[in-house]
Amino acid sequence: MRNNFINYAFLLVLTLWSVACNQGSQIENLSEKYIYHDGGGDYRDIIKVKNVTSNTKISNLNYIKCNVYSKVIDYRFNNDFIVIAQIPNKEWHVKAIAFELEDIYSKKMSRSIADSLIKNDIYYQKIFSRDKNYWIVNNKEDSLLGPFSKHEYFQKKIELKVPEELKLKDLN
Amino acid sequence: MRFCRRVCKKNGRDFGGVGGAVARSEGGWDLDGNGIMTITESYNWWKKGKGQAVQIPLSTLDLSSITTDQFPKGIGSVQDFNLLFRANFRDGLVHGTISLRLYPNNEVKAFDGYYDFDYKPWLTHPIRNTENFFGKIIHGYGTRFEIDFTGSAIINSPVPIKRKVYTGGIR
Repeated sequence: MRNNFINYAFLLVLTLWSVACNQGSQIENLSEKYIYHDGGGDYRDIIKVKNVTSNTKISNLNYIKCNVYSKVIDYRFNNDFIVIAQIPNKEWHVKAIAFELEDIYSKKMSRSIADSLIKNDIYYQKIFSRDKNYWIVNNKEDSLLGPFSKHEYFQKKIELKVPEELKLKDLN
Repeated sequence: MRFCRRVCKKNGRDFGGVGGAVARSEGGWDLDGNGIMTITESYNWWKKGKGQAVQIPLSTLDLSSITTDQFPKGIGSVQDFNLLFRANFRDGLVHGTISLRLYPNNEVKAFDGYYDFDYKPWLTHPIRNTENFFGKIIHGYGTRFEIDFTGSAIINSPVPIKRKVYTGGIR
């Protein structure tokens, strides 16, 4: 009886220990080309499949503009569209952009270019000009549209005939 | 720096894979100086690291259970792998799930992540949250830290099944 108890206790401790771990990151497939990536903390991006076979400096810079970087706070999707709400975070933008640039440049150089892009590129200035941005991925045309203000987002949604059921939480 | 050179040379490209060397020279997380983060070292850093990010060369992880055919969308796509469920307890207990992008020639790069026990909605993540619950009990209070995977690693191609093998049987 006592031996059984010790065995069960040992098994329980072993089971608890084996599942008691850091969870790391996770992804969710949103379409054929896009995934949602949650790396923990504020690290929440929507990323496109990268064409790494013809990875040039220019294609790399174009690719990073096909992604919506941290922090993605909400998204909804169907076969045709992905609608996204984002609270832009400069630190995580730099990290995510540097990560992509490391395919071409050294780690230090990537970080420096990413910093410079965030500070000087009009595209990123627009992203950080608002507290909250909205984006629409049109899967049919393979395009990412945005960043939009709430008003622009609603207009674009009507224009593209995005179904009503794709409603972001804070816009209900 | 010998470790750094070995990693960079092995991978054939320079992503600045200096994690092990930096960790050792600054008296960081790498207590035994082998560049591999164990559960003891991650626990220690959770308690004493004050949230300081760690750099870990991806090539120090055992990715032998991952093959290229496990990336259904092919080269350039990203897939997550729970190392704990791949009989890799050493890395699984520390890193849990890692997200990898596949490159040509079986090369993979890992996305950075956090060592944390954050909860997700229970309805959609019951297993993850249960694991977190026990993880938090065992780890106690500490500070989350960022894990920056440096460099790349090479994974295996799927093993082709050439012919059926008939074994044993009652004679």
